[in-house]
Amino acid sequence: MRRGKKRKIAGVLALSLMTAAFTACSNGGGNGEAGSTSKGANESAASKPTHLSMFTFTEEVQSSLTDSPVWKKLMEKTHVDIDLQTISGAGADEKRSVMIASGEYPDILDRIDERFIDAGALIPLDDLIEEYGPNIKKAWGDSLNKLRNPKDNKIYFLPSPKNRPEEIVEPGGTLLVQYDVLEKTGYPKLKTLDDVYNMLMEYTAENKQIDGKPFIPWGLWADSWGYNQTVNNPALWAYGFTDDSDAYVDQKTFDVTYFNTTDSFKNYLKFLNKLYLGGLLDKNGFITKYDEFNSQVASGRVLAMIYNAGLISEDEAALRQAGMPERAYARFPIVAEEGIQDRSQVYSESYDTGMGITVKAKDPVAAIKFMDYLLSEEGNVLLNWGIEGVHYDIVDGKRVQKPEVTKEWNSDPAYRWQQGVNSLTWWPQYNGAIKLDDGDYASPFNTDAIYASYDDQTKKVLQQYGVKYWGQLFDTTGTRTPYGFAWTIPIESGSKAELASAKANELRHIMVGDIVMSGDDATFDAKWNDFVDKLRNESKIGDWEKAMSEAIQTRLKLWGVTQ
Amino acid sequence: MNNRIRRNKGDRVFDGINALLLLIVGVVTLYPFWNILVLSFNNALDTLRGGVYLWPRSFTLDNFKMIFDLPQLATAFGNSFLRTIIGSLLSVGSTAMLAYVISRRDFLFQKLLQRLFVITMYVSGGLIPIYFVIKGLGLLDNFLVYLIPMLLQPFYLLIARSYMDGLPASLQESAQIDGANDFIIFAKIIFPLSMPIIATILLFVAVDQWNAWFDTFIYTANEKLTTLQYELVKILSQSTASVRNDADLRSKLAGGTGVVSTPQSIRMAITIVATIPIVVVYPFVQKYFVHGMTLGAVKG
Amino acid sequence: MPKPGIYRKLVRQRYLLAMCLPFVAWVLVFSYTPLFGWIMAFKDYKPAIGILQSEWTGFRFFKEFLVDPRFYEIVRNTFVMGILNVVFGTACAILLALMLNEVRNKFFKRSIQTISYLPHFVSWVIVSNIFYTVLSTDGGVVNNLLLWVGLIDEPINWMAQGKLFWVIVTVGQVWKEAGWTAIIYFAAMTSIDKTLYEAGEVDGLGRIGKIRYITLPGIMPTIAILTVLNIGNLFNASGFDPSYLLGNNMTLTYSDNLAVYTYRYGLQMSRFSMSAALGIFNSVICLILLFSANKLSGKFIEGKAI
Repeated sequence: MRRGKKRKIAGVLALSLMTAAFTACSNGGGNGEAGSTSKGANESAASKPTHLSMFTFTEEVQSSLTDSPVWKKLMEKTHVDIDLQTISGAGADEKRSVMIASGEYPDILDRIDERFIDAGALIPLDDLIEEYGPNIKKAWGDSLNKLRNPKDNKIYFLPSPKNRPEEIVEPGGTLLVQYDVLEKTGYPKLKTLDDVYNMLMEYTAENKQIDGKPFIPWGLWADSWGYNQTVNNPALWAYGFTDDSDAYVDQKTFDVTYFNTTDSFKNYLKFLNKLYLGGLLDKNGFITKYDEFNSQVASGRVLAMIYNAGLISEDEAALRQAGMPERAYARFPIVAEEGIQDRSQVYSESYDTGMGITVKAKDPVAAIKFMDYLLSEEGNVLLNWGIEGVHYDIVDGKRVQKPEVTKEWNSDPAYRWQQGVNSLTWWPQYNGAIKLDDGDYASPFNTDAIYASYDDQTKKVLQQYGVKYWGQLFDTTGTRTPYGFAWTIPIESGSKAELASAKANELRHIMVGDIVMSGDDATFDAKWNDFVDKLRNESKIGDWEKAMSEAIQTRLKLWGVTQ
Repeated sequence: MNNRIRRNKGDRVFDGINALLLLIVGVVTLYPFWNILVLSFNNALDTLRGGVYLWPRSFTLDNFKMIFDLPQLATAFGNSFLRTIIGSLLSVGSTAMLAYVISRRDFLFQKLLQRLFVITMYVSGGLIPIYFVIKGLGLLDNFLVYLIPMLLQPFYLLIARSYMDGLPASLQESAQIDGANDFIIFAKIIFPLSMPIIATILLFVAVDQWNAWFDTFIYTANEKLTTLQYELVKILSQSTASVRNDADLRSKLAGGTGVVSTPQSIRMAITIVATIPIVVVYPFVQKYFVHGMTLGAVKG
Repeated sequence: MPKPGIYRKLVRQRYLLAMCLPFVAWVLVFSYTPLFGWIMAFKDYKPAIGILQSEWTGFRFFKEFLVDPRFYEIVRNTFVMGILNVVFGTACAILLALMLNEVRNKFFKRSIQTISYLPHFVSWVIVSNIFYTVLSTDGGVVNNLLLWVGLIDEPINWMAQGKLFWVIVTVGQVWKEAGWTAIIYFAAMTSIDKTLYEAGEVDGLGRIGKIRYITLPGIMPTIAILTVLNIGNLFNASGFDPSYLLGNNMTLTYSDNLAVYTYRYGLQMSRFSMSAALGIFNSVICLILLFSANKLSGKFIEGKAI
């Protein structure tokens, strides 16, 4: 018996080993050897497509993409064969580290990080664009200068261009108020933070609970990156700044101060303190985690907040599915007091990431030609709208998505990937509600299409405010900063500035919640002063401020704003 | 011969309390897991609202759909299966053999050998140097990278050695007198008698292999080498990322009626997929945790 | 001049030698060769220019974290959480194994054992969610229970108390790993000669007596080795996940540990040298702890653990 068993085990082992050996041998050849490079200028229709390997540092890509009809057509039109690999979030840091250390790069890197540029992974694109990129030149024009690296004035990556006016389909960080609150308080005109305070007080006087759980009048979650979304950025919007993230930039001298040490931020915290003392702020807001927050929103308990609406889209979908469409949110601009102009949606053109060609690319010309095709009208439309006759039709000279396609799109999130339509939205081509040279929208994700998607409840509220979509409520005429968004300015990795910023971030996580929950003004001021003090002396935030100020000056010179 | 141990009142009280405590342990450890099972079968958007505990409120297979729709599922599963089987057998055999050598206090280099391995538990060169070593050996993009770097774990080595220490020395001595060499002693005597610990280590190594994904991520680029756990991690990442994607907004604005799974729910589904195989296999391993394996050998 | 006796011994032990040499080669290649990477800690390693060309910085990175006031907090946290983990983890695992060992009903024994190790497979992300839900101030089971019984008037915000963090993280780790670790002790218990129990019965030992005088001493070598190894691992015990996920803004001063610190100031900022320096620090402490524990173990079992 025992002998037979032993024989069995030996047999399984032997079989498995053979299979393994077979697999190892057939896979040992690995990646990157397949395909041949087409020989320079000699391109005959019969030559094999150029093989390019691409890593994209974004997790959204679903594997059905490379089998989709649009992808296949793209490969056909550009005469390349792209091997796409996505780097998932967990472990992206390690993968990048290992790639840089070993110098093993694919041909194309997508969604690069300035660390790659620092490490010398990418080649400058200037000459390639000049010679092989007519569509790139045409689309970008002078904005190409905005892509230049401050160290050597060269272009290393191509992002999606935003140098044309874009209609705001769904505004980003804004005031969000539940439809029900608006209805019950008579659709008030909300201009300042005080208006919001009064409205919430009015509503909560009568309405305390939903489904047995108390309302959370003002939503907050400040754990990890939630701090930026619900504490830092709302303060920026309320005081009329653009998305400069941690930087308060003096618009005359362009000197940078750490935003969390400024009076504007202090006053915003005072607003939160007022909410807290009025019983409107969640006591646990500063330790609430992402999942928990979404749970709160999805159960209809959060009445208002300043947040990025895109981040709660699933929660709103859950509410609608549960039959509570009146608990979804209206999007409004909001400022701290009268006289401040809202610039939350003012787009200041600047770029921090995109697609680049690496030093290991065997055929950079094929790569740049590929990228050039993306910006051609044909290529732009192909990736966003799909194939004519299959995904869309031309009606009266305008592109109209086929109704079956819209239906599939709205009911199955995997559809976009299976078809390859409007899935690679970060690629270097026009996207979103921007009009191409032919006068039509670059992608089906535009204002008209969105309006059609709205449910009745939303349309009802929109009507009360006299608009067809939320974007119309927002003022985009505010002054653009000449340096773009400050958050796109890279800080050298491993520098003192980066260290100071990390320390400051740690500090504010520990201290800000405490400040907001002070019982009276005296305590508030004392804690605030202590906070600023520690930022300056312990975190040495001055190092960061100095580095940022210099970086902005460099950028201004590079972009031709100053001499 | 009546071997039964007399049971008196004290015995019964003891048993009673013991059983009660264990029952509490069972509930406390099972309930969260049961909850995960329930949530994995619950509609993702519905789960967001909270309040689902013992039974799905809105049953659906959608959370698993994303997993089973994977084109590379077969390859991933196949690779995971292969690496688990081959990896565990290789590791267990190697670990047992080395543990035996270390358990021989009379071996000249015993102490040195043991310390050589133990120290590596606390000392590591870091990700990048290890990557270079693996690259230098040509193990990148190679199935062997799933088997060789993970071959030995000092921890398992030591518990095996500890177990072997407990085996009666007389067994070994008599075999040596009979002229058996060290390898035969190991293979024919020590190994079979160490079944409980071998089974334990087999279980641990198998789980390590089954759940490994980081090595797939860092050391391989070829899709044909993908593993199940890695694909699951990717799905989770995708779901987390798609929350913030504009183009997905349309379906959500319209009330999203189709397959929408949230990161939270996918995590549940993944946990279930990763755990079920182990739970299924475990009873076979449990067979070895039986008293009296040594008894027979001494008498024989 | 080595004694001739050694050669003879080597020849006699040639099989043992052959049985271990391949693995010695393996460990040298995979575990010791990468140690050349430690040199990164003494240089400002920039991957683009390679290890050899990177600028030599001596102990600069070590100095950096040794003067950081938060660093001592971090070391304290790591140490405390590690000790709690070893003590309670070992105690609970042994206790569980003992309890299971005493069960006669095979079905009950096997099912409870299987259930008890399930948490090992649950990721920390889910575990932290469970904790937050169960301990939540609105609707959490624990608070509801305490309110209902009348022990408190208002829900307690458990997760926001920094000082409670150590308790919470230990409970979490025990819950997660006790069942899995118990498997080892359980396996060890099965190797105890059954006749010893019968002899004990004759000597008049009750259930508890048998555990005290037969079972526990029987697994003492296993307990010793595991404890020594775990003490060596003290510093790694409170890993990255539990601290990062269970901790929050209010608990940072108690929850941040070495793993989180290394991630934040090392990997996340791509400062490989810093990661390496912290790694060396960690390794040194671990080895000191390991060999101290080992020496102590000599008092409990014959011959030290390793």
